[in-house]
Order: sequence, then structure tokens, then C-alpha cells
Amino acid sequence: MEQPGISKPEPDLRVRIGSIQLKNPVMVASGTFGFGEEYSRFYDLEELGAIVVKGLTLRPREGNPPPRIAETPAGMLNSIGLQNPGVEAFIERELPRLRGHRVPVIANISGDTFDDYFEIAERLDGVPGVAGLEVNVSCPNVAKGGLAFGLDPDSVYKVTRGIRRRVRTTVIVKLSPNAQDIVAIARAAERGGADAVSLINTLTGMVIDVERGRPALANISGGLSGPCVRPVAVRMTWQVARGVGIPVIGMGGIVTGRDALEFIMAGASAVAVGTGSFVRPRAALEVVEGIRSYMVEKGYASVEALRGLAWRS
Amino acid sequence: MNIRGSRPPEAESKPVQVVAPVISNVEIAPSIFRMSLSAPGIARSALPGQFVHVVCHDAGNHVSEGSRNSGLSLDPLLRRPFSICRVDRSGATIDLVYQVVGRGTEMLSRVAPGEAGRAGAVDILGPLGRGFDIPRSLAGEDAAGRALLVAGGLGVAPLIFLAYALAERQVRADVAVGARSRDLLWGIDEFELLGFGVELATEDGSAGARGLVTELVERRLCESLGGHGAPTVRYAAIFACGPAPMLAAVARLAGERGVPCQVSLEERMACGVGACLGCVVKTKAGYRRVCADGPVFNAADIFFDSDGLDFDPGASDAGVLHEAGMPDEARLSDR
Ligand SMILES: Cc1cc2nc3c(=O)[nH]c(=O)nc-3n(C[C@H](O)[C@H](O)[C@H](O)COP(=O)(O)OP(=O)(O)OC[C@H]3O[C@@H](n4cnc5c(N)ncnc54)[C@H](O)[C@@H]3O)c2cc1C
Ligand SMILES: Cc1cc2nc3c(=O)[nH]c(=O)nc-3n(C[C@H](O)[C@H](O)[C@H](O)COP(=O)(O)O)c2cc1C
Ligand code: FES
Repeated sequence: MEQPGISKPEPDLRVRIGSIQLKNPVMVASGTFGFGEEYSRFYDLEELGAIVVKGLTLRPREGNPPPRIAETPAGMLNSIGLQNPGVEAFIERELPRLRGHRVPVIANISGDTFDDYFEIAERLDGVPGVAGLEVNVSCPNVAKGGLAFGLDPDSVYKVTRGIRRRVRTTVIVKLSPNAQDIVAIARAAERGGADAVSLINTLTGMVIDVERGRPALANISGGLSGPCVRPVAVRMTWQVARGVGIPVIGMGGIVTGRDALEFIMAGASAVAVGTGSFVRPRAALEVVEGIRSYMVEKGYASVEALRGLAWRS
Repeated sequence: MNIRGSRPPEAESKPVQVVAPVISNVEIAPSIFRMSLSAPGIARSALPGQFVHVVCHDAGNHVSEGSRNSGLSLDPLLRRPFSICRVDRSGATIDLVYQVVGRGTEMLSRVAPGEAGRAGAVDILGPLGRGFDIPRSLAGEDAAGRALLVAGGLGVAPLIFLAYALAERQVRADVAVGARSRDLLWGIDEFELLGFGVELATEDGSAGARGLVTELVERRLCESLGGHGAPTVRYAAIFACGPAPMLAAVARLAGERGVPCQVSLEERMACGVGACLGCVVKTKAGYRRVCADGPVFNAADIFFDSDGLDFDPGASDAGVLHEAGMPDEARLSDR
């Protein structure tokens, strides 16, 4: 690690994840940004480091019945159920428009079987406009009786290795915080050939509507996100970043530049803003600005100089 | 399945996020407040039926950009949607009318008038969503018929904005308003000033007919068909907003009589702009987003359950828990 450099006027915000060159370390998280169209009304998408699109599956998915949203203290639960138009519709209808913005687009993919994952990864590999894949392993593994792939290191290894052997593009494995030992899962992804890992996905949670005496979500439970999960996410980022040799993309409750700096100082090479965009539509840009002004103020020349800073204490 | 709206959001007014000074915030009926906000951009471009997504905090707004962490109000975290009740294009203001039903609306009710960027201003995002479609056939001398506006409770709010637009286009309209009791009625004078006749129903009979607003609608539609004697009025469109069971009943009546009906729906929202798929309702074309494809839909396209849009806890859940063998996060939550 370098020491903080001499103050430079314009810090270098660029980072590299696999073969993807990001102009800054701030992405938007899958499922919180649709396919980019909605938020393009609020700012120029080219200001972002990368866009991770809504989770895709081979075939269209209808998703879960409503209500799908419940608020929690400083957070929220969602049970969208991976509603998406399917990979072909994504390529035909969403990608051409997304390609028009000069920003790396990362496709988030899910499946119920190993073959699902392999097939969708192969389908997207090399498609113009797809800069990389983020593999969401929080899906139920049909063969394992519904236990999520992401909770079991062997499954994560097999999914990752299988995809790695089939595609040339950058492969990021997205980790579930619900795993018993997230470092073991991250190492399995690394061994399988992942270029990077991202974390955290949502934590399983539940809200009961006391007035009605029933779960607030039609689906009973949902995934917790937002500022309330940040301390958990920072801790996991710290552990994983020290436990693997590949870049880590940190997320969970980031709303401001300072929130993002916590992840970077815990060892993340890049960060993603999810729920924060719901609260402040320009949150991701505000995070870029917050990181930049911190670097200027403290005299850091590059993101790498900040990465893992807190380890030294 | 096409999960996007048939019309791109850009076809409608471009939304902005602004910290809008509060001009007034007054209790107009028990627990019902009317808030006037200075928001020139939104006042200029908003259409009837659109809504704004509001940071509900008694500090007034999430902290302004560039500042450090402190002061960012993260609880309650999510914005709350409110229909635009009225725009004053020359005064550059918008009015919201809201009922205090929980933490967010409680905090909103405590915001005092003030200046931009400090307490006394509210962070709003809008205008959002697709509003009412006013068919050309409603306007002018040779109109196909009158419009019927049906409101239950706070459903009055978007219909007032609509009423102004109808009056501008010289559409003739009648209004039916329902509330639990007389003291919860509001906005009636605004409809009347625009020259629209208003019929009332209260559940306790303290004003107008005793019963539900849907009974008024049923009677009007019968008359419209000339059930007794000559047809007195003919309705060419119904616009409705209110609780889901009311909308379901109005939709059914309109369907039976063949009158085109638009309903403004509500669902829990996160982003409010169409990005998260959190606010969907079941339509004949699959799930659609209330915030971006709606909130106004053609009633004929919506699947109403017997008790409105509410889910049936018995039907969907039990299977989900058991089919996977465990209450496993993967199949229950979205990742
Ligand atoms: C498009 C749209 C337009 C709306 N327009 C108005 C309006 O003009 N005036 C008005 O008073 N209210 C309106 N609502 C409802 C309003 O958004 C909720 O009452 C508000 O979010 C409650 O916030 P809270 O923090 O006070 O309540 P919470 O503590 O979050 O919840 C309290 C109660 O309100 C219900 N509720 C919460 N959010 C919603 C929601 N999004 N839709 C329906 N019920 C909800 C909950 O089920 C609960 O019973 C609208 C909702 C939508 C979707
Ligand atoms: C509404 C919603 C939908 C999501 N959909 C997906 C998804 O499709 N695929 C995925 O990998 N993660 C999904 N996530 C998880 C986020 O990408 C992110 O990992 C998580 O929300 C934590 O970050 P945050 O606290 O900043 O939101 C979703 C989150 C939310 C709130
Ligand atoms: S609230 Fe996010 S899509 Fe409607």
C-alpha cells in the first residue's frame, strides 16, 4: 500500500474490474436501476462507473404477487421475485438503447440449475454492449432441494468454474450475506476463476403488519437492503477483501460518498449504490462527487491508495 | 411478456427532484392536511392524475448535496407518493392533500412553512406516472356524453386536478364523493365552483345519502341507461380514485354498462420512477408498475380481487413456504 500522496488537483478515480475499465468506482446495483432508462431522465448515465442491470433469467419471469415492498427502520424489504423479460428480450429491446450510452453495462444473471447459468452466460458472452457478467448465486438450486447456490461453497465453485470455462467476458460472482461463511464462498468463487466478487446481496428479513396480523409482504419474507445493512456489509467486505486476491465490489446501504469510502477503506476496489437511488435519484453521482472531494481534500491521488486503508490501523 | 409501458415515460413531463418551500400546511378536516408547495417546474408540466414522491420528515428534507453524512434523514427511508391535487400555473405552486395515517404523514403534518434548503421545505420528486386520459369525445357541444368522477376518501385529490382540466375543455361532468362521515368530506366546494354537480354519500348518513359512493354510481348509471323513462344523462367516461374495494365495484358497474372507466390505483412504492418493480398490480397483460405504467389504468385491464387489490394471505403464501422444503431466502426474497 502506498502512503497518501502529495496533494494533486485532479485525483484519478479510474478502477479496473477484470477487463472492464471504469471511469470511477461507482456502479448502480442490480434490480435498483431497471435497465437504466428511468434514471437517465435524472442524469447522464455516462457519469457512472458501470450499470448493473436487473437480474436476468433465460425465460421471462413474472415475479411475486404484491405487496412486494415493506419499509423497515432505515431500510426496506423487497420480494420482487426476479421479474424480468428474459435474456432474449433484454438483448433485443433494452441493450440497443443502453449501448447508446457510453458506460459499461454488466448483466446480472440467475438460474435454477447449473445448466441455466451456463446457457444464459454463453448467450450473453460477446454480445456487443455487455461488458461483463455478474452471477447472482442467491437463487434456489433445484437439484439441492431449493437451497440457494450461494450458501454452499461447492455449488458456487461449480457455477463459477462452469461459466469461466464457457465465456471470455469478465465474470463477477455476487455473494449472499446469508451464507454461513462468506469468506469460504468468496474463495470458492476465486478458485472457480471469478475476476471479482461483489457483496452484499440482500439479507433475508420479514415484517409483520400488526394491524392486520399478517406478513407485510405477500411473499411472507423478503430481502433487506438500505442503510440498516451497511455495518454488516462493511464487515463482510473487510473479511472477504482480506481473504481473496481478486477485486471486491462493495455494496449495502450506500447513500453518500462517505458511506462508499467505508467500503473502499475496508478493501473494496469499487462500490455499488442500490436502495440509495430510491431515496435520492442522483445518489450514485453524489457518491462519485463525495469520493472525489474527499480525495482532493485529503490528497489521495488514486482509489487504490485508499483501498484497504483501514487495515493499517 | 412486455413489462414496460406502451408509452415511454419521456412522452410525459420530465420529472425533477426539488426542495420545495412550503407555502402553507393546514389541517382542513380531522387528520387531513392541505400542503401548498412552491414548485414552478412541476406546476408547469404536471398532468391530472400524476403524483409526486415526497420525503416525509419533519426536518423537511434530506440534507442538501455535498454535505457530510450528518443530517441525512434515513428514517423513514422511503419517499411517499401523493397525488397532485391542484396546480396553480401562474403562481407556480402545487397542492397536496394528505391524511395522517402513519409515521411519514405524521411528520409531514409538522412541517411549517419556510424557505428552500432549510426546515420549511420538502424534498419532492415529480411529476411522476401516467395520469388520466381525457378523450376528445368528451369535449364540446357534440360530446358523446358527460364524465362521471367518483371519489372515495382521499381519492378526491387527483380528481380535483382532473376537474380543473375538464372545466378548461368544457367537458360536462358530475361528481360522486364518498366518505365515512360528514367531517371527513373536503374539496366539494372546488368541484362546485367549477360548475360540477356533486352528490355525496357517507357511511353514517351524516351528509348526503347513507351508504357507499358506489350506490350513487349504480343509480346514476341506471338513469343513464334510461332504466326508468327517458334517458336523462349519458356517461361517456368514468374517472375513479379511492380505496381498492370501491374501485373494484366501480369497475364492475362500468363494465356491466359498457362505460369506459379509468381508475387511479395505489400500491406500496420504493423508487417511484419505474426502476424497482416494487409497485406492481396484476393486469390482463401481466404485472404493471403503478408508478410508471399508472397510477391511472383502464379499469377493464385490471384484475380486481373480490376484496379489491389486496392479496389473499391463504392463497399464495402457504405453498411458497413448503414447496421449497424450507423457508429459504432464495425463493422468498429477491436478490
Ligand atoms: C399514486 C399514489 C397516490 C397517492 N395519493 C395520496 C393522496 O393524495 N393523499 C393521501 O393522503 N394519500 C395518498 N396516497 C397514499 C399515501 O402514499 C400513503 O398514505 C402514505 O405513503 C402513508 O405514509 P405513512 O408513513 O404515513 O404511513 P405508513 O406508516 O407507511 O403506513 C400507514 C398506513 O398507510 C398505508 N400505506 C402506506 N403506503 C401506502 C401506499 N403507497 N399506498 C396505499 N397505502 C399505503 C399502509 O398500508 C398503512 O396502513 C397515495 C398513494 C399512491 C400510491
Ligand atoms: C428492489 C430490489 C431489487 C433487487 N434485485 C436484484 C437482482 O435482480 N439481482 C441481484 O443480484 N440483486 C438484486 N438486489 C440486491 C441489490 O443489488 C443489492 O445487492 C442490495 O440491495 C444491497 O445494496 P443496497 O443496500 O445499496 O440496496 C435488489 C435489491 C432491491 C432493493
Ligand atoms: S416504485 Fe419502483 S417501480 Fe414503482
